[in-house]
Amino acid sequence: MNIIKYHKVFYGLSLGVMAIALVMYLVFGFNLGIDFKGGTKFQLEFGQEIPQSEIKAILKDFNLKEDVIYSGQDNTSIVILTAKVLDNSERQEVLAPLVEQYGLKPDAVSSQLVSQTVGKEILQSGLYSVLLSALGMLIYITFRFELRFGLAAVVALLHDVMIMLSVYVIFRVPVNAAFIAAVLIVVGYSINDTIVVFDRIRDTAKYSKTSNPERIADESIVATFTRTINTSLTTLLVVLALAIFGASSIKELAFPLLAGISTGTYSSICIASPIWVALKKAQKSQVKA
Amino acid sequence: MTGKNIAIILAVLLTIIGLGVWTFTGLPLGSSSVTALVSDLNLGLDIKGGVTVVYEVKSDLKGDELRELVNQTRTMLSERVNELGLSEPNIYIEGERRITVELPGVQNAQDALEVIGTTALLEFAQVKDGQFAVPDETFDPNKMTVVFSGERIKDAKAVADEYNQPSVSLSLDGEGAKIFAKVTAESMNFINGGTGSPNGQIAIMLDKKIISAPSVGVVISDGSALITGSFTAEEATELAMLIRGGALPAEIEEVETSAIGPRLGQDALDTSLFASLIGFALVVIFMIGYYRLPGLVASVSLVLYITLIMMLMVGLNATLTLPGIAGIVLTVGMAVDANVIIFERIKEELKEGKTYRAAVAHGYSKAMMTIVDSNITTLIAGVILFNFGQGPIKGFAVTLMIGILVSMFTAIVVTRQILNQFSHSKFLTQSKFYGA
Repeated sequence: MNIIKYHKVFYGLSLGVMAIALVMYLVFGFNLGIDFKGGTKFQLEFGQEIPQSEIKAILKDFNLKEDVIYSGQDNTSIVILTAKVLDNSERQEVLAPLVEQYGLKPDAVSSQLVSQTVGKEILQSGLYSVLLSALGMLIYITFRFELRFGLAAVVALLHDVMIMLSVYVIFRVPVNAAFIAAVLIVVGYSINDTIVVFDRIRDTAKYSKTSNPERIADESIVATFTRTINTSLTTLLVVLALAIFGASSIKELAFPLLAGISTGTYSSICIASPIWVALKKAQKSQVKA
Repeated sequence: MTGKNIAIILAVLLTIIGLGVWTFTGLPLGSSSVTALVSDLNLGLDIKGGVTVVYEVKSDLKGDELRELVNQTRTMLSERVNELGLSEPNIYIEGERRITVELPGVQNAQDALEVIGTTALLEFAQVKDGQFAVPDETFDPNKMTVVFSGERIKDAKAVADEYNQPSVSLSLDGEGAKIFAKVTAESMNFINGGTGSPNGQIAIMLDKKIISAPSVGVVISDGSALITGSFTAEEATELAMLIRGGALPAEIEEVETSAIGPRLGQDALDTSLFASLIGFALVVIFMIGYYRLPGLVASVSLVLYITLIMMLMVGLNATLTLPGIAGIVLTVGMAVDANVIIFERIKEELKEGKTYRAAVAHGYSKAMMTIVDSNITTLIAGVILFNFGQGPIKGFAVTLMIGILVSMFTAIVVTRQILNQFSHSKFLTQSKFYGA
């Protein structure tokens, strides 16, 4: 199997996705959820399906410009989102007519208020953590393998983060606190996947007759291919179950995770390995010169 | 296969089943029944319902002074929360100037928020003749008359009096000074044997609760008073803080609130557990379908994996939240990975014509370094997230780290132990059971 030969195709594909995302980002920006934009969220359990228009009609006078979304397995629960930051008594006012109309008990009502600054800080600390983790991994991999492996692994890692961001931009997935968690899961998963392939490359390089980095990489990718596919398959099965059956806050994670885990798998083979080959070749030509 | 091998395999299986039962279901043994370990698990407010509020302290102070101020505010908030009489409220400082208040099980979020968030009322009252006020008592209109409230106080400070004893100095505004002059004059008149209603005591109240009840010693007409008594320095500081702030030493702003109705939390838990179960079942079906016998062994060690995670969560007093459940379910994927790496290596070795025993030994030794390296890199991410992340990210990092360590243990130690015992059986070591 020749994988490395097609590296330009893979690079092009990834850059293409990022380019589309960049254009969409410049035009539309991120679809920021309430965690980052600030706002108020209500969740109400009605015990039966209530038409969204009915809710909107009741809330009309508050002028909240709200989104009304179904949640729960039988659409018995409704989430109301508004960009307005409502304080305690304002939230009470909004809830009062709904509680009255449908006889809701207090245990079936949830509300959430987020101001903009909190979300920004979570995002910031999340991004710091990702960058610091990348640095920590680079040091560890350099120590256990060599610098070229470390660099290639970190480039693949950042690639995965970029693709995750692209998925959020392209599919207009709301960016909430869960976004950070999703990126982090993918970071952990992606590096794990890359190391398994690199470990095989290191092994093959030691025992193989050839010293051609391209052949070594191809051989190693083939040798670990079943493992790579099986591991992502089992993980994807789990995420799929969460996506279909999970609670709404978990569901929100699931789609970006499906994309991110697939990307993590793809990048170990199609991004990390070719970059290692390129770095290895650069080293060789330097030695010759 | 000898009796000893079978005994070991059975012992391992029984241990796993035993731990699983103890952890998840408990045992009804008549009167001395064993309760499920998971019932001791701390559930996050997103599951059991309750209110979480994050307040931000408004102040221009910096460094140590800010820390002190935030600390005092936290103490005050705790006192108010305690008045709600909830079980296990949790109040902690997050970052530089944020205070998080967690109120589990609160049904009506709005009422609780009002008690915590509003500024309390500071009042000064004159105690009537024949009455005596003591701290911690509640205001009684038959015993005392309110003379003025907190807005008349310009400042209150903890100072040392002429005998170098800790005391609290008060300064009042113009109107307050006038009232205070009249009140103290009346008191002194009474103390000096004159007639009149007050008994010479002033009660200082916060939200109608007496926090201090000093006796008047002199007529005070310039609006600056000194409260003396047998205070410790800390008590004096606290009293000054209470009087000064009216309630809270600083203004606080509600920046984040989440009020989860218990029923909605329970629904979320149920659906997420159901989803996890389905996910787990799919993984087991896949593993057995693809890897046959070792897949079955891996599934058994997965059961142990989840059991151990739960035991550790209980042991470490960690809190299970919805993102935490997602985290655990996802580490199942990683736990399977270690097994997949090993089985693939064993399969390779078997295909090269090695004996079962040699294949398992070689497979493990080759896979070991891969597993260690790949898990340590992920662990690095976990440690960094734990140290630098905030809130939900921290919780996720804990599950991630526990998951990595436990999965290495189950894959490397437990699965291997079982596979080694198989080597004594001709039947169980047939290559077809290993997909080779």
